[in-house]
Amino acid sequence: MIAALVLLALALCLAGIVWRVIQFACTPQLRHMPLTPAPFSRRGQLHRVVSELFLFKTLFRSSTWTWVFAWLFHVGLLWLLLFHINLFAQIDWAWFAFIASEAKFASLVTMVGLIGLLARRIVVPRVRFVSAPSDYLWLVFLLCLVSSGFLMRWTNHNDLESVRHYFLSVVNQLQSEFPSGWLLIVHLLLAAILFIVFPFSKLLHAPGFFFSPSIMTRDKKRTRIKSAKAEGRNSG
Amino acid sequence: MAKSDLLPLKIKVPELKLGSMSHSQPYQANADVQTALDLPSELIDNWKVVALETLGVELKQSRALRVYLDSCIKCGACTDKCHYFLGTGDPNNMPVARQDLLRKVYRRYFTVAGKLVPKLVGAEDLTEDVIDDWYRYFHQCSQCRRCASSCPIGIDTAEISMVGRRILDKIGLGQKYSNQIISKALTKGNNLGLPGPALADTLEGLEEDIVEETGINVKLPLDQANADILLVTPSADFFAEPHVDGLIGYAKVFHEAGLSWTISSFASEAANFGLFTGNKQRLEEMAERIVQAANELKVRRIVFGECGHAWRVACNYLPPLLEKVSTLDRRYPVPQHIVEVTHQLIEAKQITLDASKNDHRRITFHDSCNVARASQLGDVPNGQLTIPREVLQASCNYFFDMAPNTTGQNTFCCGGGGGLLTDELSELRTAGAKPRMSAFQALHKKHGITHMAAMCAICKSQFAQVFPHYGFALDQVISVHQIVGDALVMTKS
Ligand code: SF4
Ligand code: SF4
Repeated sequence: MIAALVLLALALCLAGIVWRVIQFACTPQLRHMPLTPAPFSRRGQLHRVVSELFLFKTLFRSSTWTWVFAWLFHVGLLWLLLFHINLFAQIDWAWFAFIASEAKFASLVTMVGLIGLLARRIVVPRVRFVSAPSDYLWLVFLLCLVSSGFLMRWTNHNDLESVRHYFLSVVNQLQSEFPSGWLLIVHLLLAAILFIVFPFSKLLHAPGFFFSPSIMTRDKKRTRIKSAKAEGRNSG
Repeated sequence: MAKSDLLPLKIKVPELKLGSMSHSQPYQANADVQTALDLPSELIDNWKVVALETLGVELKQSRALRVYLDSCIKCGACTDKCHYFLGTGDPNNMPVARQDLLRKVYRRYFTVAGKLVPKLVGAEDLTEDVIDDWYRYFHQCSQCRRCASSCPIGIDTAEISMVGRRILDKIGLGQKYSNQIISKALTKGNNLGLPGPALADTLEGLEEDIVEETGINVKLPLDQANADILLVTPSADFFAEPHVDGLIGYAKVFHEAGLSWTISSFASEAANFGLFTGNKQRLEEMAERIVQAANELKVRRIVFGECGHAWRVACNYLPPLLEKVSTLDRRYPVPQHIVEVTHQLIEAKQITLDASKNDHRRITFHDSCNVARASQLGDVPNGQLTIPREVLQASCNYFFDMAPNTTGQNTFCCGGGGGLLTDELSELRTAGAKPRMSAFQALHKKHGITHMAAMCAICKSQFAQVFPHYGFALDQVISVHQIVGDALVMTKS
């Protein structure tokens, strides 16, 4: 039952994201409007996008404390994502398994990030001013989701093998027993909610980033024909 | 780029003073002005429908708008970056709060969450109060993009305030200053409404001044067909101080380099206020005038004078339109900037500068927001930051940069950009200039700076007005090309 719900929610989530991405992609950007100074070369542009995507370079420059927590949070999330992928896909590259193994630490890192972000939202009057109830709610919600997962691993609430087995048998439409445990139920329900709401929420900044014209546009040269000495030939 | 020897400026972030600038708004355009642009002149009856329709249309046409409205995470990184917030403390001048004025309406009418649970996600109905806030606070944004360059998603409040003003225009709440200027530019060819003969007179007067001063016959040609270069410059250059000395500087450079050039009376304006009001149709009409002038005069190059937002329009809108001009020489940038021309001439040693002629000045440079963050120079990244400095350093011996967090990509707007350079907004303009002025004061204290050079007509006018409030004389702002012109060694008669 619950597994079906989670899987259905996940499918909805992916469909929702695809729909939003299509919407972004199909909306034209008629004007060339890079946020300058912007790179001219493809390589420069790649460098810019990668350093924004993985290092949050702009955020580092503009608000270092936010950067610390936001970065921890996102690194934790990525780590947790790998853990969950590994849980079901069982990829057998050693390094992948190694990274994906320690869910406890991943959750801790994520939680530190979330708590920092929440504190900043409450403590800094400027940020408080621009926060809607949903902005707090998301942080609290994600904290619950991650901490339920953390507690499961911390207390060895249930063994991963049974969870994996359960999900795989649901996918393959086999009979299966739900591995007992209230924490697991909470965790899965929260996950289902996350999946359903994601495409309609501000969490959309993830796909949005890739369509932001100010970051995604590189600059263009205005000179079409190369001629270093153009000025010389023309005058004098 | 010249490095500043100063530490980053400590920018004091003010306490939030809600509503402290809610009295500040520009005059509304009257019937004459609005009708000239086919716009209603007072709040129309079905304003709400039209406002939402306009927003809907913009959303379909602009990926930027859609992404920016959807993707803000309210991280707050932009909240202390806007000079108007830093100068006034009004929280609605924090970039994200300014965006939210539009975003809350977008959410309410265009998103699932806003329709289902408006309170939870900060969505709000569109009411007359909201419209009033739009009129106030979208006219407290100079569209300088400082917020965009501090946002991890690159959300650009300028785009949002442009759309906001577009909607206001459509429901009858046009801004007098900008719309008046647009209609003059569309009928007379320039923002001042200066007709051709008057322009010819002015240019002749300037030629006489130059002869008197230097004894050299520097020409300022008007409507000369087959000239190599069409100079498109902000009309303030024709008469305002200190702009006009910049124009004289361009003329001297052209003269000394032996370049043939002309001004067009039909397109005697580089500035394009259609950008500020988000009026794409008018913006393109004005840009088309340049295209037409270039075609008629059969010029080979188009060179822009010192104007920030004109250069932004030139980089972002003009290139596709200029495809229609067949005479243009594509070995040069199309269009080109006067600072690029001078820079190339210096590098090619076709003009000589005697920097000691400026030894009575100690100079710094104000990066205009539109040049630093919305356009380029020299076909290289950062060219817009390095090239003007190289030109200045070739022209004077005492050049100093202001604190690094206030120059280059981080530059502060002068406080008068975006169509706000009007008297009724003096309070806002003075407050908005504060961050730039603090940096200038700090540098002045350390190095005894006498002049701030700028390459934007709006910056120059704005500083000339606000300098006295900060303890400087209005003639301490100076055109880049005045400095160049003064240093130029004139060898040709
Ligand atoms: S920096 Fe960008 S994402 Fe963060 S609050 Fe400002 S506009 Fe929103
Ligand atoms: S574009 Fe400039 S003036 Fe407008 S909100 Fe951003 S920083 Fe402020």
